[in-house]
Amino acid sequence: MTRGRLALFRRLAPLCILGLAPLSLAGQARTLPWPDHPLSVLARRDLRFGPVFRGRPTTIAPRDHQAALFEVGIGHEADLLFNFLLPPGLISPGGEALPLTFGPGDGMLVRQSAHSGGGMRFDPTRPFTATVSGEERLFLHLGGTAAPTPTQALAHYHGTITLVVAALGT
Amino acid sequence: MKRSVLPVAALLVAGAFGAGQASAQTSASATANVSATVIGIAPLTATTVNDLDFGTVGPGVVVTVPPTNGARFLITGEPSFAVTVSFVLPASLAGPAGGTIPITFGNADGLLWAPFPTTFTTFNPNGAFAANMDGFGNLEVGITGTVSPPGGTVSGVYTGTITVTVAY
Repeated sequence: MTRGRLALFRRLAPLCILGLAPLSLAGQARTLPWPDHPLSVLARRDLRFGPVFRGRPTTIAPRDHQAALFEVGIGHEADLLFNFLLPPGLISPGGEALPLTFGPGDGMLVRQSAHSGGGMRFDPTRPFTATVSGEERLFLHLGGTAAPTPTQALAHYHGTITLVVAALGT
Repeated sequence: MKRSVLPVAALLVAGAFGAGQASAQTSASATANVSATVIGIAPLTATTVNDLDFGTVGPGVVVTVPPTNGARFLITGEPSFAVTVSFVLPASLAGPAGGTIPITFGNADGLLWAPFPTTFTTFNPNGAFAANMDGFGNLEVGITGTVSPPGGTVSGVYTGTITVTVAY
């Protein structure tokens, strides 16, 4: 390194440190999420009503093996906000709609650390929060009711459910 | 001089970009599919609408209930589908102190309402009967009968059970 370049490096080195320092301090203060432990949301299972009869509502309970299942983790303690985007109905290839409803008893949150059978009911039609600790994973089970009309077209109906999870900056 | 400055600028930009990536991780989402298949044959259900009530009867007096006061059952199922209707009928009604009253069902005591209470056809309830669900998936059947309390029948309430079975 020439003397001129060495002098320039000495002058710019503090700038380099200043440029990195805010990121490092921010990580210690946890004002930013931990890059090594990103928030993850996975759809583990679909909500499958199977065969349903015209004029006969069919309900899938949240802990049923046909209920939807989402897995959520963030890797450190955090408050999480959950919001489900629920369709009002399922659609057939021909465009017919099959009414779909969700209620307060259709959601069940189960912590990875919970004993089998434990869980907390939630209403998937409303946003709600839960605290996750450490490496714990949360499992959200979601059921619902399909209500075919007496004249419902015979067809296969399809729709999607989206779970949006936001970390609230713990 | 320029060549020495560029790496520093690049480093600062990289740091800012890294922060942008981290902030994107404050929310995440996943989507699951929902599916259902509507099939054509609705399950059959049967509901009792009215019991067969003979009211107050006297010993030695034969009483037959008119069709409109007979027992009625509402059956629901797949519209326009053929079904078989059959009854399990009692031979007597049981009363106090082991007493009984004979009950009989004639060849025309089965009632197929279309609709109640104005129009009906009769059938023999002692055997299976073939019928069709209407266009809305409904079928209303009834049954009447006759009791013959013998002389000396003890006063009291006498009851029995009629069971209707419907199958595609």
